Order: sequence, then C-alpha cells, then structure tokens
Amino acid sequence: MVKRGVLTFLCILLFALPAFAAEEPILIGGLFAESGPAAFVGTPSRLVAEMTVKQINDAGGVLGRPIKLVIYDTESKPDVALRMARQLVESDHVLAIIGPTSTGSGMAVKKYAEEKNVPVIMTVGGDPVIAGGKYGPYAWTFKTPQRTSTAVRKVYEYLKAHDVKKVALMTAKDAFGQDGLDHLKSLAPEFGLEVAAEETFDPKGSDFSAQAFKLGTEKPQAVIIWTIGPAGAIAAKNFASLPGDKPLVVECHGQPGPEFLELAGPAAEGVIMPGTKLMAPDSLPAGDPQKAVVEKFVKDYSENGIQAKFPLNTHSGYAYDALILLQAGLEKAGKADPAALRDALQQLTGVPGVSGVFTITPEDHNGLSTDSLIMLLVKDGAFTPAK
Amino acid sequence: MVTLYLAQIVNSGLALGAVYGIMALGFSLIYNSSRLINFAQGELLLLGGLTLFSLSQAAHLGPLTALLAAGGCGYLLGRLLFATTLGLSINASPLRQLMLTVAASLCWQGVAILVWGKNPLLLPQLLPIPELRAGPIFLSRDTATALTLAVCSVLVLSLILGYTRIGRAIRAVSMNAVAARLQGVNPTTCRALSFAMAGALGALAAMAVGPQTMLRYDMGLGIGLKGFVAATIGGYTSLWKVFFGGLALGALEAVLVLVFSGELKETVTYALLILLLILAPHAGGHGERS
Repeated sequence: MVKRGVLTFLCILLFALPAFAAEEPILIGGLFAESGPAAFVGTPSRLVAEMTVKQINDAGGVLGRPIKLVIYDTESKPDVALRMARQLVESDHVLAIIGPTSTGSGMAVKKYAEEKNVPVIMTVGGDPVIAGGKYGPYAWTFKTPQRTSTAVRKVYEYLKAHDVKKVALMTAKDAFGQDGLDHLKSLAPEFGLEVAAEETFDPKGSDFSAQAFKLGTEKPQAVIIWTIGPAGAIAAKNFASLPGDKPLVVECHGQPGPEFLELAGPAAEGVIMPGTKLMAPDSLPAGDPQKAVVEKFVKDYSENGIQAKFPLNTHSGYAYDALILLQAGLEKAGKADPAALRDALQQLTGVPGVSGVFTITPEDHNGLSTDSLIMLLVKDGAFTPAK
Repeated sequence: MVTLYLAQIVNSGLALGAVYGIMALGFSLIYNSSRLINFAQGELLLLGGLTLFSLSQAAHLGPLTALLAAGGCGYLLGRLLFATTLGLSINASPLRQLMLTVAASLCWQGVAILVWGKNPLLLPQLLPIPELRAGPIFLSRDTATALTLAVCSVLVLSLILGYTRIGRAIRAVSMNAVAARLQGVNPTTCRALSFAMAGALGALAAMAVGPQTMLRYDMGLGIGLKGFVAATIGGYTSLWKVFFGGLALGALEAVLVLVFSGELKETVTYALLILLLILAPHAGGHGERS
C-alpha cells in the first residue's frame, strides 16, 4: 500500500514537474553548413549562434522565456538544407529559422518557408533569396549579409572617387559569381565606369593566370574579382605575377579574412576590398553606432575560444546579427507567433549589429546600406581602412 | 598583341610544362624498371610538397636545405610507396599491382586530408631564382624556378643513369630483368630505387608547382595523369624526350586556355591521351632505354 502510494506520488510529481519549471523555451531552428565546401563559414556561424543564444538567455531571455536552438548540418547541399528545414518545421515545431549558409541552400529553404509561413533569417551572400520577381516572393525571408548590389555600389563609389574610368571584371562561375557579375555590369554606367573586358573562372580551379593575362591586355585601371574562398587569393597572385603595369586589384566583400592574407602572401599587398567593420574595429570613430557592438563581439569571439579555431573574418558576425534581429523582432511583436514576428521584423529601425545598422522594411528584407561597409586595403600583411 | 600572347604562352606553358616534365620522368622510371603505371605518382608530389610545407613552417629553409629536404622526403615517400605496393606484390599479376597503386593514391589522399586539411596551402618560393626578361620573352619567378628545377632534374638523372654503377643496374633491369639477375643485379633493389627516385622527383615537382597553384588534397590525380600523358607523348624511353613531352603538353594547354577557353584544356588533354593510346599502343611498351 505504501509502495503504491509512493509510486502514485512519483507519477504525479513526474507529470506536474514541467508546470513547475521555468517558462518554456522558444524553439528556434538553426541551419548551418558544418561540412562540405561552405563549412569554413558554416561551422564558426554555428559556434557564434550558440554563443549569442547563451548571452541572450543569461540576460533573461526574450519575453521572459529562454531561447533554445535546434541545429542541423546542411552539408552545404540544397537538398539536405531543405530536408532539415522540413524537420525543423514539421517535427521540431520551431518558431523561426536562422541560416542556412550558402545561396543555393538558401533558395531551397526559402521556397519551403514561404509556403509554410515560417520566418527565416538567412546568413547567405547572394541576393536572389530576397530579390522577388522571378526568384519568387520573399514575405517570410530575411538576410543579414549585405546585398551584392550594396557591396558593388561600395566598390564603385570608391573607384569613382579615385578617378577610375575603365574596369575589367573577373567573376566565378557559381551562383555567387554570377550574381556579382549581373550587378557589376548593370551598375557600372551609374558610376561612369566602362567595363572593358570580362572573364569567368571555375572557383575550384588552381590557376587563373590565363584569364588575368587576357584582362590585363585590355589595360583596365582596376580589375574586380568576385568570388568567395581560396580562388580570390589565387586570382590576386595571378595578377601580381603579370609582367608590366598591373591594374588595381579589387576583391569582393566575401574575401576579407586571414585566409586571404595567408594564401595570397606578398601578392595581397595593395589589394582593396569592401568588408564589414569587424575587419578594422580599431579604426571606428567614437561616434559610430556599431562601435560598442563590434568591440564586444570581437572580445566575446576570442573569449569563447572561437578565434583560436576560426580566426575572425568578414562572415563571422552574420549569425550574431540574425539572432539580434530575431530578439528585437520578438520583443517588438510581444508574443512568440510567426506572423507577429514577421510583421515586427519588417518594422525594425536602427538595430545596431556587427555587420551594420539594420533598418528593415517590407520591401527591403536586408536593411543595410553602403554605410555598413568600409573599404579595406591590404598593407604590410594586414587589413587597414583604405583612404 | 600577338607577341604579347606568344610571350604569355611561353611563360605559362613552360611553368606547368616543366612540372609535367618532372612528373613524366618519375612515371618513366617506374614504368621502365617495373612495367607498372604508377597511379600514386601525383600523391608523391602532394605528400612531398605538404611535408616540405610543414618543414618550411617549422624552420627557415635555405635553398640548399630545401632541395635536400625535398629530395630526402621524396626518397623516403618513394620507398614507402614501393614497400606498400609493388614490394608486396612483386609476383602478382600486373593488374593487381596497378590496383594497388590506385588504392595507395586514395589512401595517401586521405592522409593528406587528415593531417593538412582540405584548404589549399601556399608553399613558399624556396629557391632564390629571379624573374627573367629578354626582349619580348618574359619568364616569371615561378616559371624560372620550375624550369631550372626540371632541367637540373633531367641532367642529374641522366648522369646517375648513365655513369653510375647503380644507374647501369637500373637500366639493365629495365631492358631485361632476367638477364640482369643472371649478371648479379638484384631487380627488387633496383625497382625500389626507381620508386625512391620517382618520389624525389615528385617532391621537386611540388617545389615547382606549390608556389604556382598551391597544394591541395585533390590535386594529385590530375597532375599525375598529366604526367602520364606527357610520358606517353615522350614515349617513355629517353629522358629528354619524356621531358620535352611535358613541355609540349604545357605549351599545348597554354595555347588552349589563352586562345580558346579553360574548359577545353582538360577535354583536349585527355582526348589526346586516348588518341595516343589507340594510335601508339606500344609506345614504350617494349621500352629499351637508349
């Protein structure tokens, strides 16, 4: 009898326990490329996301509830990303999703998220996910990295200010490079630039000296290289070893980071590229609204041991920004509901993040302008702000 | 404009052609001594280069120490390759021996990923060779280095094979192993030595190609096959012909890339291999070394 009583008591306790526990966590899905070619961005993004969630929870969570991340690896493959997104929505019942990492995966997830009305804040480089038109609606999709067009404008503003009239383009044959080429070509007239020649290359290749040579024969004042990963460093090397006068080498906003300096070696000297303020935190003026955020992020990044494994690069802050936007959106919405969250995200103004100050509208689901980027110059083997 | 293009074709053709030439020498050495196509030749380059990279990170390597280190690493890697492939299957069927080198190639690639990771690594330029300029001809630092390394390799190799006792023994084995054995030559030693020399050549090729295209885990097969094509063009028997086969392949690739496009390069190179194998199936097949 006593035994039975104890058992009953235990059973009651077991079922009643959740009710005694603190507020139920808000479930957020995380999709990161932790293996495959985009792993060098995806893996540190996951670590940053976990670090940021811990910080948010330590400070009392959102709406009085902690955030819980459910994370899956997309293997850098669109089909896996889609499968994992389904799992997050249909079996884990998450409120919103952070990620994925690469543009191809982003397009796969976006289509599904738009059908299911799930807010997704992506960390992908390419614009198509929030471009609308032939790429489909983007009512539920947001992204934190600067648009390709923003980065192109930043580069062109710099070139125009330095009296460059004639440029040559060298772009990767993948979705990212193609996106860059489209914007580089369509925006050139606006800045009075003539595109003298263009070449494409396989981003997995190991030698682009032929393309570099062909572009060099057109005698452009500057050449703009649009690719992510080691190919950018290889191209810089190929231009540096051209005989005779060399054009100014400009890389895209995906390149800033220690890997570029290491791989390009002496060829990196004098190369310029747009990057987030993360790449030159010491150069920010005291009045910069991002200064405090960036400095804190850099400190936390190294204190959490991520710096030791993945030295800071221009991509490092995008997952942090996604979570900061999510937090701001939830607080503005006042409840953990997908539609309310989406509406709130679309009305965020002046949220300072690591990558820029976000002002999102229903039309602009990125919310960053050219002010969020700075032009960097490689000098003595380090990134410095370009004059 | 045409001279500019020609100068660039010479420059980039020689840069890779010299590397293909060195790889082709390694192929020919092993082919002649053992009648074996060594599919792990590219991995000899890869691991030789990566080891050299780690050494150059750990300590400052002068030009001479770098050459000795490359030769030494390559020699040991070659011995290791022999010990784990042909050395184990000396009496097995040629097909089995061939498959062993394929397996070795994949295993070594795995080792490269485990130890050095998947990111490309830039092997610094270890030899102080300046760029050359003579009228319209321009040889960049990478090209000049690759060419110097390649020519020196051929010279040293032909001296060894032509004027030393062990060189004569290797040649004897490649002409007729049974007869050589009757004359007191140990064919197994000679074969092991030809693997070791191919390994040293691979490491030297890595010194030539590392600063140009960087070293990456998946480069071995491609560059090894190019060496095979070059050796087939050269006909396996004469060192200089084989070496010029490499230069010719490099120049052909440079023309294709510069005049047409990069995509065409791989297709044409391997189509050429098919043609060569069909038209001259015995190219070097009964290889008497001159």
